[in-house]
Amino acid sequence: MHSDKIKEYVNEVCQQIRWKKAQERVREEMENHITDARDGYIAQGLEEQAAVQRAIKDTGDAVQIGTEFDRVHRPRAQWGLLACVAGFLVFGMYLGYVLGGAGSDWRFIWAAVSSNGQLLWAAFGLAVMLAAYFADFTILGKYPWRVCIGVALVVFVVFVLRSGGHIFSVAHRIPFTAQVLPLIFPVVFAPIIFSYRNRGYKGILACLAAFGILGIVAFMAPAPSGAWHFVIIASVLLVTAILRGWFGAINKGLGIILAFVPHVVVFGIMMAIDGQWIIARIRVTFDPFIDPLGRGFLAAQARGLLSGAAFVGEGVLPPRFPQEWLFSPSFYAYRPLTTVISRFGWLAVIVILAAVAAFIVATSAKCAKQRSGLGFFVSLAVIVTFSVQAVMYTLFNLGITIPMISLPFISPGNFAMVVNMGLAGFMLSVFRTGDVVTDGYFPSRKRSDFISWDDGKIIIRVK
Amino acid sequence: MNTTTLVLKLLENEAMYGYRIIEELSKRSGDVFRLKTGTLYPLLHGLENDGLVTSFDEKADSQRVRKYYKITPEGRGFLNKKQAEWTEYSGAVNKVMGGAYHAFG
Repeated sequence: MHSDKIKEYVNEVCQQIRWKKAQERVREEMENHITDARDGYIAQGLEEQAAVQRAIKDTGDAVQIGTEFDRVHRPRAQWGLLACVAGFLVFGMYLGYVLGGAGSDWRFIWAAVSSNGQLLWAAFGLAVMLAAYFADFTILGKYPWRVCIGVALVVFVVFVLRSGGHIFSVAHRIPFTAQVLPLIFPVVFAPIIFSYRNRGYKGILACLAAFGILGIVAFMAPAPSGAWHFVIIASVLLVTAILRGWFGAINKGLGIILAFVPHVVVFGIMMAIDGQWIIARIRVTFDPFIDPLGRGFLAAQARGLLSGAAFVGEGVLPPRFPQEWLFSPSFYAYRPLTTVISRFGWLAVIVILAAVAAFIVATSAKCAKQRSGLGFFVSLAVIVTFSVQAVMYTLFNLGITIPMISLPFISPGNFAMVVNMGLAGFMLSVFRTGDVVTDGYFPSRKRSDFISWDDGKIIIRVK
Repeated sequence: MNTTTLVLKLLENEAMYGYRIIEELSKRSGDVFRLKTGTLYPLLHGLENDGLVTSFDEKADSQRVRKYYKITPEGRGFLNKKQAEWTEYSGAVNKVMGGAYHAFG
């Protein structure tokens, strides 16, 4: 067969390309090209066999071309950003020990580091990040619903196995805060959005279905903080998709209204069940002094500390505030940024947040350059997950009673750190391999109508 | 003036797939420039990595999908710069080479 000759030749070209993922892209294009050239020669009157030979000869030496392709197609290593994340981690641990009681003497810090499990957690976090970094994110594009439902099920089982407790213990020595788990939901929600390109309002409805399933599982967590994060993040992703015209020619305003119907309905039901309780909670959010010993406790304390803070340097403690509190690890654990502001001044926190913002800006620039919708939405999901955490965490530390999880990589919280490192690794795997992923790469599911007309025949599909 | 600039110039007004680029280049240059396939595709892929062109798939027939290349705004900027450089350079060459004729003519 002559077409086998073409395949043979293209195979030889592809064998020179060390990056497997890039091979597929080259293979199809080269085969098409040689077929075009062959057809050109046949049109000029050549026999098929001769035409194939000429076409291949025109293309050139397979090994040489393959080597050229190999030079162009290399995964883009993201060592800089990986190092950045590791840097945040080390800085966060250092800060934790300095402010959590060990002081700034390295010997004490080292003693503290080695005496508890944090070093193990950090190693675990780095390992998870690296594993995710080398993972193949395109699987999400191939099976969006299967992955989404699978992840929802696994998390559901975890929540059912141990509900009610703040701490879920695999073994007693490995505590892990299960409510952090919904932070991985945006990454499996993004491919659902991706898979409904140009599908109009129906696409939005399908996305809302996934949103609902993940949301219900998220709120089954022992504490709702992760679920609240998920709701905000998923809403941001859905609105972004609508505004970018991802769902095709629809009225964007109507699309956004549609996207928020479930929010309004759920809120309405909650208000109908216990409106007073919800209003009371909302009031405490903005004025913690209404309930300074209950829900508003942490925020009221934080505001007290902040009122005496300096721009640079140590602030004044509020009256009746025992100094030992501020120096205790547990105080630091819940309000590290408040502690930093009180001990070192506002400038220190501004610098820390600026570093996090720079990380988010740098990754957003790479996200915007993604060639595939999948790469774009998956990396965007991770970036929004980091941003929402950072904003909520900062607001909490400024004395607003809202759900918080962590300041990604920096704040204490072992399991949240591991989850965030995993997400970072996954985002970086998109940046690493996104170059060879295009949306054409995923066979678009054919929409088959119930009754269709083809070549003079009526086709009725019963399945 | 190098191959990159020529390819970008061809893509300036319409998106094309690789085979067409080669045909179009030899046609417009009166068969002077015959671009080798083995040169073109790695070059296109490199341009895409650098963000000067983007690619999209379009069905050629029932079985085959063709990859089309389209110039990006960055690609246009790059092309304009290179074109300006070329105009200046070729103008200078013409002045030197053509100067003799002017002197005698």
